[in-house]
Amino acid sequence: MKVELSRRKFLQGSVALSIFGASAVSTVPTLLAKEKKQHLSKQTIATLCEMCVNRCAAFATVDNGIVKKLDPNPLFPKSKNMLCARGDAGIHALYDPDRLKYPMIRIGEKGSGEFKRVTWDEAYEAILNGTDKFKGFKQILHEEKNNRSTIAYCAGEGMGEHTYKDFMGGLFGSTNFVNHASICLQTTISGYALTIGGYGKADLENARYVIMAGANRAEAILTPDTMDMFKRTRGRGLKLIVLDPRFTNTAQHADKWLGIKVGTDLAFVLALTHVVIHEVLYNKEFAAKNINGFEKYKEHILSHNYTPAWASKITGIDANDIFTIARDFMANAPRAIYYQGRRTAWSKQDFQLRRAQAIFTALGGGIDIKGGIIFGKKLELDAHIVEVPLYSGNKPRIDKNEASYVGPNGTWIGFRNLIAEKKTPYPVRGMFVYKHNPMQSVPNITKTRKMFENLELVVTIDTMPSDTVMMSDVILPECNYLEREDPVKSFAGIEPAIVLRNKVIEPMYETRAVFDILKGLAKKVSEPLFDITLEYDADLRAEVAERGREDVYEEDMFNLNLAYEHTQEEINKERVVETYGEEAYHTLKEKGVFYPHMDTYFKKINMNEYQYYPEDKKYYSRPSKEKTEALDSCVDEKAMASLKKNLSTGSGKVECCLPNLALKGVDTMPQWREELYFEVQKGKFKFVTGRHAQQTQNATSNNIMLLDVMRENYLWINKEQAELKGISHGDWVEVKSSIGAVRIKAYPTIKIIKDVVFYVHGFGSESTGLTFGYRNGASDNMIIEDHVETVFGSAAMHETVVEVTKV
Amino acid sequence: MNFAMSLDYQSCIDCKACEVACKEENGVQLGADKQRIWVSQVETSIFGQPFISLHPSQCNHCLDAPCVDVCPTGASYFALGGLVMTDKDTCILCKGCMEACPYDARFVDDTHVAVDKCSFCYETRLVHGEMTTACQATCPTKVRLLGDIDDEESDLVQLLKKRKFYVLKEEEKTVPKLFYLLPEHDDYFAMNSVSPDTNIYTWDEYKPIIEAAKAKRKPQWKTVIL
Amino acid sequence: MENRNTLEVNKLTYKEFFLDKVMLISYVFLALFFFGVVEMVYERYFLLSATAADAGLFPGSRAVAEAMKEAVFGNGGEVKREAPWSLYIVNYIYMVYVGSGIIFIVAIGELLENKEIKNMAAAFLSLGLAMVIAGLVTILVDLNVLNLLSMLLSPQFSSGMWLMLPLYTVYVPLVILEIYLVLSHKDAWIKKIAYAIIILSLLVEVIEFYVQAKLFDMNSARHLWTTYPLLPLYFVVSSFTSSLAIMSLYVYLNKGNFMLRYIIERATLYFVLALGIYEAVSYLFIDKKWAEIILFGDFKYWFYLYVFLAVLLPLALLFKHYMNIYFKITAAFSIILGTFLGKIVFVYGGNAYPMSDRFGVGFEKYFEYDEVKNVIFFMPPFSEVAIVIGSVGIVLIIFRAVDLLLLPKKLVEKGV
Repeated sequence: MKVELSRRKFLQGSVALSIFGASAVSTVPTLLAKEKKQHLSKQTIATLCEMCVNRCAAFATVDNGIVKKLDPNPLFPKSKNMLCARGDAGIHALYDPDRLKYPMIRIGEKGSGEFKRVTWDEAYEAILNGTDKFKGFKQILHEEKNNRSTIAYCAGEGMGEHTYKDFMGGLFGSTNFVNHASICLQTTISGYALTIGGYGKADLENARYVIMAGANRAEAILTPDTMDMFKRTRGRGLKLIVLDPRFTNTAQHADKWLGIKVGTDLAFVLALTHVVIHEVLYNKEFAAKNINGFEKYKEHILSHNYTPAWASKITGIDANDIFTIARDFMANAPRAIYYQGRRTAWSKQDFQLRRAQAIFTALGGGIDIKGGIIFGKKLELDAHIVEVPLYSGNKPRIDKNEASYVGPNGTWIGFRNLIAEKKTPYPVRGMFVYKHNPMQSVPNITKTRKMFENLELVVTIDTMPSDTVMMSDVILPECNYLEREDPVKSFAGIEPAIVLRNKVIEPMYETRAVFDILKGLAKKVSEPLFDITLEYDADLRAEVAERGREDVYEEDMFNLNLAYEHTQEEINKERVVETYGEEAYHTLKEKGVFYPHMDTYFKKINMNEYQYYPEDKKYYSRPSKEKTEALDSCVDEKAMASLKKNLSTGSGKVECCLPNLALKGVDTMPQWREELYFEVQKGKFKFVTGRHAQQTQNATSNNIMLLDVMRENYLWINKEQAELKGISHGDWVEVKSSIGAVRIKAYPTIKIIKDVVFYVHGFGSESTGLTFGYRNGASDNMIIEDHVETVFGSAAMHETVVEVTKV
Repeated sequence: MNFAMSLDYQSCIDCKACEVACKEENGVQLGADKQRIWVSQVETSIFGQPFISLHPSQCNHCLDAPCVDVCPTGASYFALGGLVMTDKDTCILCKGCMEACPYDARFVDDTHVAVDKCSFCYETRLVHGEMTTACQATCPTKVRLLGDIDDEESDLVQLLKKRKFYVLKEEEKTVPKLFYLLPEHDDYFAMNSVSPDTNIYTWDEYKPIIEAAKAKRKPQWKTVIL
Repeated sequence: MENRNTLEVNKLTYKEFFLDKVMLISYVFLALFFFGVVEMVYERYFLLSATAADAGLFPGSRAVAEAMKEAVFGNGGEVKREAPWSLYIVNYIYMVYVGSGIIFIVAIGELLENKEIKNMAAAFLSLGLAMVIAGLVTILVDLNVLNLLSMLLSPQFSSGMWLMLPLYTVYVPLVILEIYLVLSHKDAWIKKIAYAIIILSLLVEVIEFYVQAKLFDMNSARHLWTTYPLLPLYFVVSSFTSSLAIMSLYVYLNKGNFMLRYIIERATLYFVLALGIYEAVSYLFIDKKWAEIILFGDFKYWFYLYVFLAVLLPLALLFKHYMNIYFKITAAFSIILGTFLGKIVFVYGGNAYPMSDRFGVGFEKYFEYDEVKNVIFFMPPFSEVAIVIGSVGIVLIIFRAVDLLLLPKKLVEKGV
């Protein structure tokens, strides 16, 4: 008891200290508090947020080695002088009491959470040689005859992802990589890339009409979209139509909210297209010059009779609304966008939905133009190239036949199921996991657990004891983003910039940056792995016989240490100085942000707003010959829009029809497939998942500051339907699908349409290492069935039917 | 100096960045009830359609603050700059100020066993000469604007001259200094986000009210106790 | 015993004193009181509570982690921001008002030279004083006593809360003096002083009722308190009713003389009537928002129980002059309990209407998943309940100690 009291006193003392410190440098004489001088040791360091994917620029205030505060850095055009709740709570990611502090190896049963603290060297040793509990590289690679692909690897989104891939895919040589793409925006990215040559960026600062379907920019914050649009909603220039089964915070701002039935978006877009084509509302000039296969598409839409009346039955949206929206959209075009959206595939028709959206936007000419979807510019940065050795005997990725097109990022569900069900073409026996939590992020947790149980060597690199970390054999603790310098990064956009994450404080405990973790691992395994390679590669043995071991080892890059001769700081400096000179590098170190002419372009407009680029210097569209010539004479926006573009598609135009898709049995043009859709049975619900502005997927589930503003997730259920079931606010309910069940509190609300239930992703962790996150709320992937859309093998997350019962 | 704040609440998206920034900046106690600032919401249904208005809020730093009058020790006091401040070292936790506040802006800081509330980031920012609060700086849509209403040239007064606004619970005669900007271009939202009985002001109309209250209370403005 | 100017202390053995029946009962209450205080002190001063800055100051600390978890997932601290005043205040105003009500009535009786009351004056005064002290102790427990010195260092003369300091600094010694004088006022000149003191104490008491009313009335946004008509009068009527009930109980228990019983009984009846009329009329003036909650909303059962216990039942039992003593005892208990309930309704009711309808478009909620609160009510924590119930022990022990040591027993028993 005594101890605790003195602690409280100490706390008060320390708070007082910082206040006295502040008063000493007052510059408001009228407000001068009692003069109390105190030595100041405060420092401000430019860094970059890593609490989500946006990478907002921030300044960290460090006082006596403690990070006290994160503030927005106004210099970065992408983050526009803001930091969201998660960004502000970054301090609590850094000082999370449950952080992984030391390397650990498993001593109990797999998944038991029993680990032993070891030194870094012991951890590396365990990876190389295994322990009595698990096998290491040596045994596994010997048994698999040096098929490096037997060690798979996966990564979540992050600035260290390339560093990690360079090691695992390049230096180590595994082909089995899988990342978040297939549980994220794979279909959207691909749909847009194949159709208009890129995902692009919606110019919400200038758009006049935006249809936002499923996307929720108020709660799934994306910079600069979120800031741009919500300053312009509610009659301030941006007319917003929101389609969502839920009345989200974005829908609050909408001029019209349409509670669309789950999985029917494609029908809605096709009907819009039908109206526009039938009534000839599209930009004819644009279509003629910039759309490939438009006549065919026209024919396709009209012949299928995708009328608003037809779509109304499927989507539950009034046909008149569809007419009105289609007409209003085109009246505002080209400053009209069917917003691309992000995150996961919803339905099995998701890829075609994204194609249809892109084409619909293109019909108004809103591509590559101010107020439409634009591609902007990316400031060049010298590439950092890691040279890698060649391994023979490496097998191709296991999941290549799990969907029509499986890219280098794989299909998580396909990949996972193969291992879980032991159906891989060759044994996959180990996995490296970096900053990724597949246990919570891939649908059907039971199967993911099975996969990890089937793997003999699981190595995780992370900052927190996530559910996945609990399944591992070796834990390598990464330092927090505030404790390291990461690769310098260039952000494309209308207002492009280069940003650098500077190290704010030295890594705490025994944590290391991923770069240094891999450097250490390379040092440990380089020679032994070369020996194994030699044993199974006759050609290489011949080379050695000819050129000598040392030469082959060094020159053919089998010496993995060569990749780590320079530090991350040195690499960054070289890349920046090479293109922009010393001055630019200093600016990055000091201010965190750089772009050419920043010193003259960047201006403070008022206490809240800044100018980054003058209007005429912004990169609204890509240069093309015709455009440059027309710039002087052309003022009409519709005419501007119709100029010849130079898109990054095969034909340089918007692609309505992609004949190659037919080779894989994929529709060449967006088409409604009745067989891929189902109505939910009476008494049951379709389950949808989504985001919340105070959590980043499941990465922040233990952040006490964020839990402070949102303690747990609740099940959204239509108020009328809840009443029928006798469910009222805060009641415990069981939500059950074919693969699992969870218990969660109910939130009956009029903000969700009937026959749909929702709860936000990111809660319900099962890791006992998380003091605050452990079994707090419910996990969506416990109940989401592992459906995939067949084009890319992306998880279709809104195809699950659940029953809800009061408990 | 007379600090005040405008809130363009129509831009609020309830991301709670302000709440978190405030807690981090000021070392506020953890707990849902322990907020110096907050975003509240009113959820209603209008012809079957959900309607939600979000109201970012904090202490109004009333010019004629009832919370100061009730305090038995002067722990709740007017500070130079027209701030309503609390002094944790002299607070005896009678909680009278909490009862007196019509806005629920005050709470008990259990770490100091004293009443706490928004200080417009006086200790961490204003005292340095900064003219933003943590909540204003961090906001994605820049809902808030802090300023000096004694200075006609300040961004804040300039904004208030352009936009109509209202204050909360005017009938309590507290003369609050949080100016809620009336949405200009969305009548539906404007109408439903505030009661029709609320007085809508222009700067010229509200300024005399401020002047009168200031004249009454200015003698009580003290140097900040830190 | 004639002409005594000094106090005479009754001769008692330790056993007689400490093992007295009433004393024994008081120990039980006091034990509860101390249990509550220990619990409260632990929670208020020793329990870890975390701020946003703690995680950085004590990285990796399990104690801080537990404190943070408690802060976020726990029940949210001692004081609820929407209802800061709670059972402590209820007990405080009840004890202090009822106690000073007794003192006031006795003083009036003395002034009127009422023989019956004069005979029991010392006992009543010490009972009243004991209650006032119990009330003050309750409020001390409620306050953060570590900073109490600031009441002296920076006085706020216009604050109702601060005025209580000089008020009770004068009042309590005055009452003690009064008791002393009552017990020893045989000299003529002392008699004169006694009159002066009594008049002074009456004056102070009038001020007290005014200050107490101001305390509530200053909270301009809590309209129950600001629109209660003639708030000081309400305090007077409701407390005097209860004061009389307690006095009558004392008289019954000590088999006081018939005349005294009759006077108190009648007075009680009139005050009960007055209280009934007052409550019936007052809600015509009280802000509808509050009146609705109390009369027809969540507080209605409490309110009607209060009216039943404090007004209707006693009225029925006392209206006719029944000879059955149990009727009277029941009526007294009913009033004591009922008026306490009345104070609960008054204090909690003041906070019942949420302050959160700030925009005039409905009550606000602070988090999306919160339920909108139409009425504010929080159950007091167990420690608070224990302290309040336990404070009866303070009344009993003080009163009984004075009773046993100083009161001339025979005087009472003989009913001279």
